Amino acid sequence: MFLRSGQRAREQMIRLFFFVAAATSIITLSLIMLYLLLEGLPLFKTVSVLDFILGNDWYPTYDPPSFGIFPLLVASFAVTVLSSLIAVPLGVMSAVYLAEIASPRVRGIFKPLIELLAALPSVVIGFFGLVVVAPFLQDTFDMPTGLNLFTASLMLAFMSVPTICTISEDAVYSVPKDLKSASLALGATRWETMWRVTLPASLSGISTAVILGMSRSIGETMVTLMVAGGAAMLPLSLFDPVRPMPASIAAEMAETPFRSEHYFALFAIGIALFLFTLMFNLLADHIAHKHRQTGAATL
Amino acid sequence: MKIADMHVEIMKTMLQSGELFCKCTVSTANFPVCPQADEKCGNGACGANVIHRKKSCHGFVTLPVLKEERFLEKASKFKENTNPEDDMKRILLGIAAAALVVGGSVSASMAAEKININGSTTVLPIMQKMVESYMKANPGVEISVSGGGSGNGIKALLDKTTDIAMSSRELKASEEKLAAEKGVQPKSIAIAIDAVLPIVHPSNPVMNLSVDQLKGIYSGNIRNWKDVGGEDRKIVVVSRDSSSGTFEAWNELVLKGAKVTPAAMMQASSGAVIQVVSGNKFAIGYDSYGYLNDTVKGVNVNGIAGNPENASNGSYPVSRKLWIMVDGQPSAAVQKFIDYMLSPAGQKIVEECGAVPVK
Repeated sequence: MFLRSGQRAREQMIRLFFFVAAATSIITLSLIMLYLLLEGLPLFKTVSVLDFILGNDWYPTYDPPSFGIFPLLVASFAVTVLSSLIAVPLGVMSAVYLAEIASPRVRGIFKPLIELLAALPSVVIGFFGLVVVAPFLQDTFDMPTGLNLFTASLMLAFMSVPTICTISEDAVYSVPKDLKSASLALGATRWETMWRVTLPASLSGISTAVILGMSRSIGETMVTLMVAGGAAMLPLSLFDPVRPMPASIAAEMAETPFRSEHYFALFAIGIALFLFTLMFNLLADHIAHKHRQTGAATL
Repeated sequence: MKIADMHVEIMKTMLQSGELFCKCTVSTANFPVCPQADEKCGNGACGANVIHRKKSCHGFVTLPVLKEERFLEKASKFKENTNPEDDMKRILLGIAAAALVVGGSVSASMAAEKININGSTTVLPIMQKMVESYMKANPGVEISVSGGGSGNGIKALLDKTTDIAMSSRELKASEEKLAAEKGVQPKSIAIAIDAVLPIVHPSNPVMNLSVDQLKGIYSGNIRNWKDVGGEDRKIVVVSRDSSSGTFEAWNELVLKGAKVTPAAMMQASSGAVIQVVSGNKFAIGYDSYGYLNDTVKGVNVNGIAGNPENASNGSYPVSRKLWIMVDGQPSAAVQKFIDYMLSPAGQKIVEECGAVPVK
């Protein structure tokens, strides 16, 4: 088929338009990344990469300064893992309930409510944690301080549950009826169908939900700044205060002399955080691919 | 129109058209600030009191500034010249000279009405109130205040982008060196005394701690309240972030160079320290006298209460002076404002802000 020249020009225009739109976002992102590298890498002229990542002491303003981010790295890791341990089962189970068990009326009420929760600003959650949850946990369990790893993870889980729940719910809900009917017809119970057929079929969508939920908690600054306690030490228990990477950057950037070693170090933390998040995403992506269903269940 | 004024006019138009860039004392007076004014430009090859022509600093044609009598000679010749564009070199020499003369005279009269202040967030609340009442009394003066931390304020003073720097500490050796390199003579004036108090939960029975005990607690050697006369409970150490001025004072006066324990919960603001300590029966923190409220209890240090009297007579060990810094001899307007800060009215504001007056 031949297109008329006017039509072809229009096609070209539309293609160009979308290309520019896609290129803009990619170029902007790469420029931000470039800036991050340019501002972070100068640190490694004076501090070795190994000392930076595995160093135990974070004393950026002392003379001589030490820039070891191992405690911050461990804090970020611990907070993310712990909050995921709380948020993923909760989120996925509520998703399964909403998609499979709840009546359409209940679903119609709860789904928008949970989506509304996802829109809660993180500073509100942080403030709630600082003023309500932390003192409550501190008094109830007689902890030295309520601002610790556990409270921070709890608040972060609270933040990522809605994200995980709504996206997983979409995935579970869109599993074709044929699969479920086939399973039930073969004599499987509803529980078996849910566990052996529906969940595996929606695993790829659920992993996307988990990635998004976890990315939110890794990079979350306000909640960790307000609730995690801010002590740059290796946590020995769940109830020790910690200082995750984003909190460190946020707390120190404002008073750091421009382009000083400390300033470079904060950007280097940004690089570490970026790589850390990337690693998480790649891992989750790998899991999603490995469990990708073929045929009617493909999402 | 005076000759000098004429040259200034020519110079202004050239600066605005981008034909000429300058990085010298006049640039901050009544000329647009040189867009090339960066650190590289401020010292080394170029130096101050030099007019630069065109583009980047290192490609500049630099012209030495003339002495005053030589300028007058050049200027009169310039006046005779009806078409200044004939002799660009002469104009530039004239301009360079005008810059020198005008730079001196202008700072006293025209540029006087605008004052920039930048620096410590500890001094900021006091400064804001001072400026408010000063501007009310002197409507012609325009003062802008911003708080970016002591280090930033001092840096701005050395870069000549601020007239007054606020600082909660004295100059570091490295900053003095930098000042000498940049040809700045920072002069420090104390405007208030800040007393930093250790604070605990009101229910804590501990009333007094020695500096050594505080040092032990903050460096992580003393971890239980029973070691300092309290209950058998773990001490929860709360501190300001290591880049804050209050931390620097605490570090200098209490820790004396020892590293703060990594278990210390570093808080990003004075308010957050109060918040955490008021909500935790076994926490200890520290804050400026001015920030204390009923939700926390101040602890005596070496048996001396951290109140205004003890801070101003020097007996309270954890107190420090709050400084303002200017470059050399300040202009008349800046001097007038400094005099106001040290006057009884200004010192009353210091007192209202919870700090201790110096006079």
